[in-house]
Amino acid sequence: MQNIVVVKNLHKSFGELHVLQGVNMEVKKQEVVVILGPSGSGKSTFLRCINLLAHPDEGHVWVDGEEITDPNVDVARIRSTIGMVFQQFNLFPHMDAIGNVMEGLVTVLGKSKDEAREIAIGELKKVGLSDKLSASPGNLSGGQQQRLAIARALAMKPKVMLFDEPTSALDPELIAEVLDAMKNMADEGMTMLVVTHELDFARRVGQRICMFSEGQFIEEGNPEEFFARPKIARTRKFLRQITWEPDSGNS
Amino acid sequence: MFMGVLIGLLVAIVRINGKQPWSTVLASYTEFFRTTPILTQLIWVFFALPLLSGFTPSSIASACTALSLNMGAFLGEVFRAGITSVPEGQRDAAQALGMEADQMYRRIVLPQAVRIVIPPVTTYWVSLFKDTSVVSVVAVSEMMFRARYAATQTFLYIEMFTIVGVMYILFTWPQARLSDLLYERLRVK
Repeated sequence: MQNIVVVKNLHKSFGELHVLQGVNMEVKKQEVVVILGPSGSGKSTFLRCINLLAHPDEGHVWVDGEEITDPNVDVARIRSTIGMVFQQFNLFPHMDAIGNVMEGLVTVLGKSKDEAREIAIGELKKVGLSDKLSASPGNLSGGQQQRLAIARALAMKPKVMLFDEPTSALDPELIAEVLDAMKNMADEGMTMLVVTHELDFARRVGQRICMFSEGQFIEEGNPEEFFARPKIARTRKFLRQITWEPDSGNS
Repeated sequence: MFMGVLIGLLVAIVRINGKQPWSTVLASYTEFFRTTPILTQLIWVFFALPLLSGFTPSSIASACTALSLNMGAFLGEVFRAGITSVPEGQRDAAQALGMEADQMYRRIVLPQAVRIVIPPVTTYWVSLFKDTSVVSVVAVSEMMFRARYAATQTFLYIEMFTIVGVMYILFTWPQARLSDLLYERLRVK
C-alpha cells in the first residue's frame, strides 16, 4: 500500500533544545498510527511538523507524494488537506457550532454558505451533535467540544488526520465519546496519527504503535507485540510507568 | 478619534510584527505621547511643528493632530494587548484549517480582539471627549473656551464652569452607558 506520509531525517530545535533528532517515519494510507511517549519527548512537535505548524530545521516531509518541506510550497494549501485535533480543542468562541464547522469550508475552500451548511450538518450528525448546531462552544461539555473540533477538521475532507492528545484535557467520563468518534473515523478508512496516553484505544484501534523518546522513534510494532513484548528498555520503563500496578515497585 | 484609531491600529500591527527599525520608532513615539501631558503635546504641535516644518496649520488642525497622535499612542497599546491576548491556539486552529494570515486575522483573531478591546477603547473615547477641553488653550472655539469667555465677560466663573461641566456629563454619560451595553452584547458568553 502506498505511503501517504513520509518523514526523513527530521530535525527541529527550539533555541538550545534539540527536540527532534533525525526522525524517520512512513505512514501507509488508511493506517492508524498511535504515538506514545513521555511528556516533552517531542511528540507534539513531530506532529506539528507534519502540517507545518512548526517548520523543520532540517529533513524532508512528504504528504501524498508532495514534498511539503520544499520552500516554494503553498503552506496554507497543504494545511487544508491535513486535519488536526488539539488537546485544548481551539474552537472559535465567537461562532456557534455549525459556524465553526462551516468556517474552513467557506473561507478556505471557497464553498457557498449553503453548500457549507449542508456539509457541516452532515459532519455534526456523524459525531452525534445534530441537536447542537447553534450552540455556542462555551456551552458544550468537553466531550462535545472535542467532537465538534473533530467535525470541523473532517469537514475539510483531509487526507490525514493528526490528533495531539485529543482526550488529555477531558474528564474521564467524557473520553469514551471522543474515542468512539475516532474509532468510527478509523473504520471508515481515515489515515490517522494519534498522540495519546489512552492505551486501550491504542490496543483496540491502533494498527501500529510507535514509542517516541528523546527526539526519536525508538520502537514500533503492532499492538500485540508492542504491549506484550516491548524490546527496548526505555519502552518497557514507560509502559510500566503509565500502567499503574499497586505496590509493584514501579520506579 | 477616527484618526487615533487608524494610527493605533497601524502602531499595533507594526509593533506586533516587530519589523525594525519601525517597531522601535513607534515604541518611542508611544512612550513619548503616553508620558507627557496632553497640554504639552498640544502646545508643542501648535507652536513647534510649524517651526520645524515651515507649515502652519490652523489651530483646529493642530489640535486634531495632537489629539490624534495622543490617542494613537494609547490605542496602539490597547490594540497590541488585545491582539496578543487572543490565545495562540486560535491561530493554530485557523492555520491548521489552511487559512492564510489575512484570513486568520480577519475571521478569527480580530473579531476576538475587538471584543477584548471595546471596554478600554470606549473609556478612551470618553476621556478624549473631555480632553478636547484642553484645546481651548490654543484658542479653538469649543465648549470650554466659550465657557471661559462667558465667565470673563460676566465674572460668573462658578456658574459658567458648572454649566459647562454639566454639559460634559450630559454628553459623556450616554456614551459611557452605550459602551457598557455594547460590551455586554458583544461579550462572548
